[in-house]
Amino acid sequence: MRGFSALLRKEIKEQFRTNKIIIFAVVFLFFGLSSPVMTKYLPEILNSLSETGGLVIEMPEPASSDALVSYASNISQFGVLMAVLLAMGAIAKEIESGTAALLLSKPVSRLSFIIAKLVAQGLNILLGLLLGGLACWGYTLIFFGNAGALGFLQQMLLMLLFLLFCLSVTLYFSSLLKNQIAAGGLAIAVIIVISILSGLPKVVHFLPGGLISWGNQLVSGTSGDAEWGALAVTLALIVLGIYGAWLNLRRKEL
Amino acid sequence: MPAIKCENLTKRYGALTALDGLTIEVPERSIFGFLGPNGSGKTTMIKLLMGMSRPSAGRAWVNEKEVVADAPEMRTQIGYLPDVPNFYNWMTGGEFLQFVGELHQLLPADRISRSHELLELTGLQKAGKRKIGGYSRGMKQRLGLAQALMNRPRILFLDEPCSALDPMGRRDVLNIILKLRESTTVFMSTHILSDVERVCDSLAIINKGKLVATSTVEALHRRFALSSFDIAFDDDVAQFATLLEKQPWVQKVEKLEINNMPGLRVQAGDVQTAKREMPQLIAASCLSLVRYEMTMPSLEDIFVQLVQGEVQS
Repeated sequence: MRGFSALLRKEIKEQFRTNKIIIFAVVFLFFGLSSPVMTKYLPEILNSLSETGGLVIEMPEPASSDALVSYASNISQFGVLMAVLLAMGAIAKEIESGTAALLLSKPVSRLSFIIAKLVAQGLNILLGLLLGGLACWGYTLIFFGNAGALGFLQQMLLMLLFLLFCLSVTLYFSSLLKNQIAAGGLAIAVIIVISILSGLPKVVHFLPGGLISWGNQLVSGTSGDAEWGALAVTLALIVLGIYGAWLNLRRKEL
Repeated sequence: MPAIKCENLTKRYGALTALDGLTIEVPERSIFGFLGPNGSGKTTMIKLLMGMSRPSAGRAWVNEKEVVADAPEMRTQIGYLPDVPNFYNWMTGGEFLQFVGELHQLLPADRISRSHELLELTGLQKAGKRKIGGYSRGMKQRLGLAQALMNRPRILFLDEPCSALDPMGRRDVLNIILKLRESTTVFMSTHILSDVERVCDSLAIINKGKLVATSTVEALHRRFALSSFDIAFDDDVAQFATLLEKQPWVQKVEKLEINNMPGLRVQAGDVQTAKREMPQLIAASCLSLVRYEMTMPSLEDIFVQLVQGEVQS
C-alpha cells in the first residue's frame, strides 16, 4: 500500500477541483428535497388530473416512511448511474492519457492507486448521501410531522455499501478495458443483471439488491429478516472487484 | 556492477518484434545515448527497463536490482521522463512537483524547497503557479524533466527529452543533463544526433529493434574517421575521379564542393594503401592541389551508414 495517503489526498483534491463533489451534492440534494414533496403531493396531483378526466384513483394517504423510501429508490437508480459515471474513466482514462504511467513510475503500488480512487469516490458519494439524506429527512419532518431517524440512517449505510459495490464493479471494468464508455456500459449491464436476479425470491438474500429491500424494511418498520447474506456477499464483491482491478492493472502495459 | 544492464532483452507484440535480443551495459555515472530512428524500439526499451512492460524474453537489472513489474521500492532512486509527458490539468506545475515529492516520501520542507529549485532550473518559476491545462507542449516537457529529478535519482531515464523544445529550451535541458553527470546515470533515448554528440559519453544505436552498434562517441568517430579523404583542387576533377574509381583500394568516389572549390570525397576500402598511393596519383595528375585531409564524419553520417546497413557492426 505504498504511496496510499499521498494518492488519496490527490484523489480527494481532484473530486473538489473538477467539481465532481458539487455535481454529486446537487444531484443528491435534488432527490433529497424532491422525494418528500413528490410523495406528499403526488396523490393530490393525480386526483386533480383524474377529476378533469372523470377518472377516480383511490390512493392511500402517504406516510413519512414512504417519502424516505422514495428517496432511497431514486438513489438506487440515479445514484448508481452517477457512481458508474464517476468511476468508469478513473483508470482507463489515466492509462490512455499517460498519467498512470507517470504516476506508477514512482514508488507507488498499483493497489494503492486503485484503492485511493475507491475511497475518494466513496467519500464523494457519502457526502452526497449525507446532504441529500439530511434534506430528505428535514423535508419529511416538515411535510409529514414525523420522520424515523434510526431506520433511515441504517438504510443510508446500506445504500452506501450498495453504491460502493457499483464503484468497485466499474473500477474493475475501467482497469480491464481501454475505452471508458465501454467500461461504464459493461458495469451498468452487470449491475442491471444483478438487480434483475435480486428479484428472484431466494437469490435476493445473497445479492447486493437485498440491501435495498432490507433498508426499505428498516425505514417502514415492516417485518422481515436482516439480510446478512446480502451484506456479506456485497462486501465480498467489493473486495473481489478491487482485487480483479489490481490483477488487471498488474498485467497492463503502461 | 553496471548501473543498467540487460541481457538478450526481447519484446514481441504478436508477430512484430519490437526489440530483438538486446544486451547492453551502462556504466555508473555516465550519460548514455540510446539512438535509433522513429519506431526502432527506443520507448519500448525504456518501458522494459522501468518495469512498465514485461519482456517476452531476457532480463534486465537497474541499480543492481532485477526489473520486475509493480515493484515500488525499486523506483525510489529512479527518475523517468516519458516521451509525451501528461499531467493532471487541474493541478498547477508547483502542485504536481509537490505531489511527486509526497509520493517519494520527501519531508514537507524538502518538498517545497526542491520544487522551487526545480521550477527555477527548468525555467518554470512563473508558470509553476498556473494550471498545467494551459501549458504548451514544451512547458510540459520541462515540467516532465523537473518531476523526474524531484527525488534526486541515481538513475534517470529520459525518453526523447528534447523532442518538443525550441533551440533555447534544448540547450537548457542539455545543460541540465550535463550537470547531472557527477551524481546520476542518465539513459537518454533520442534521434537527435547533435544532442548525443554534445552530452553523451557512450551510446548504443538500434534499428528495427536490433542493436547495430554500441561504443563510446569517440571510438565510433575514430572507427569511421580514417577511411575517408577530402581532396580539393583548383581545376576540374572529373578525370581524376575516373582515375581513382579504377583503383582497387577505392570504395567510393563522390564529387562535392569544398569551400567553393571542386573537390572529391574518397572512401577507401584499404586505408593503408590509400594513404601511400593517393599522394602519388595526385602528383602524377598535374592538378593544383589546395586541400588534402582525412575526414571526421559527423555522427549523423555514421548513424545513417549504420542504420542503412552499409557497414556491418
